[in-house]
Amino acid sequence: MAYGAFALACIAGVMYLVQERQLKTHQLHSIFYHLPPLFDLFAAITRLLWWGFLLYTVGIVSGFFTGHPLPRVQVVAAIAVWLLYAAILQGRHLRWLAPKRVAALCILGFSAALTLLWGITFTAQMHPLP
Amino acid sequence: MNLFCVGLSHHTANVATREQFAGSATAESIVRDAGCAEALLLTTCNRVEVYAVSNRRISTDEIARCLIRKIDTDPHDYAPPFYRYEAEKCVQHLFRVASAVDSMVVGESEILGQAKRAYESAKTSSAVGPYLHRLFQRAFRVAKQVRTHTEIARGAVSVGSVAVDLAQRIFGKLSDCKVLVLGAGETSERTARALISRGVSDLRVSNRSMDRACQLAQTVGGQAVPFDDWPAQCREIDILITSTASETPLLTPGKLAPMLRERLDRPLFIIDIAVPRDVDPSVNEMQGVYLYDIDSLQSVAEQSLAMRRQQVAAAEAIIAEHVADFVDLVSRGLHPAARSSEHSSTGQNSLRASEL
Repeated sequence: MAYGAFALACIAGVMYLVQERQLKTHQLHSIFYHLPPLFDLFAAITRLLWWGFLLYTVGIVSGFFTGHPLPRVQVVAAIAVWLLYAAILQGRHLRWLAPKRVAALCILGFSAALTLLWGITFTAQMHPLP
Repeated sequence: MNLFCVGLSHHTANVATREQFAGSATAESIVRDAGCAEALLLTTCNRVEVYAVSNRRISTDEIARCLIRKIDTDPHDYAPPFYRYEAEKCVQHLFRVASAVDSMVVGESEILGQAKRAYESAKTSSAVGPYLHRLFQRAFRVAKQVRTHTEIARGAVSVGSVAVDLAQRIFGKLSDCKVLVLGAGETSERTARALISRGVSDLRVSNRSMDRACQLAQTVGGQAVPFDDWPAQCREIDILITSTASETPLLTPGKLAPMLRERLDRPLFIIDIAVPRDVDPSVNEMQGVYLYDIDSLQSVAEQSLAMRRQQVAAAEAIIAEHVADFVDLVSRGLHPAARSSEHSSTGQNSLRASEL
């Protein structure tokens, strides 16, 4: 569910950047008229980031209470993704990051999370635990 | 029964010619004077057209004589560029007119309302019978289908409406937006009125002459702000409309930067319709600021118009489908009205197909 929220934030981020670019350059293509308003898009991105982050935190914390030993690489990757999204939200909260940067970081963050997930799965398949 | 259309439009006649034939006749007078079975008069700023059904052939001159305002002017002498469409061509022409494919501004929304009013007026005076009733009902349905299934009405095509449209694209609901009008010119007043009509309730007006600012504020239901205070307003407002006669830019990145920091990331939409421009063009490069001057608004309007023209082929395809269906009904000797309830229309079929 957390990854779902991050994925939606990523899609909203793409829509935000496309629309922002067209508004800045005064070149409005057909797609522009099919996108939600810029202000509403950013509100949606912020909400999705918070929901995704909360769900991800719950997922990580509950992972520690399963009783099974967790592979170190998986724990490190999960914490890295958590820290990445925490940094984006903190930057947003303290107004260090402009909406355009937040939208770009949503795309970057989700791409990084997917890459890590793929990397862990790949490593686990190559070197299965005894 | 002969169905025909006689008229003139912006394609064939200038306004001086059109005004000679507009305003004096009614559908009722055309039925009476020309001897038609049914008639409907469509008069807009760009066209004067008579749609009629008759048992005998009525010449274009006879219709022109019914329309002309000056009794002593002979339409032969005047030689106005009337066009005439009969039967299938008439059906096609009406569907194109109602769908705004034939309009000066392709895809405009006025024509459908004007056609409906013309129909209602003719219906009230009993000038419309079952044939024109069915034809116009179909035309209204075609127009709606064209607007729904193509992008012919997409985007704004005038400077004022582009500004309002862009504001809605940025902020969504305009009811929470704060607007500052800087310079009480005619264009800024029109833009401010357009914004108010879309829900803006917080409007401030600032002008070098405080009297003029108060006057405009009172007219549009806003609040006047002293001219010296307008830069401070940039901390709060969402939309700035400038149209002062200043020779040098009033707003530069240097002036705006400290105010942007206090805006909590709300976008700032600036509409600069002044010539020379009131806002330094480099302001557009600042984060969260969208600056549109008169040329860029015009350019967006032209892009929208080009986009609408690209949709004409799709609209023509829908129209052709309906024309064929309508003509088929008539040629099979069935009264169009009789089949309306049992025959699922082309429009409904297309809609069903697109939904599936």
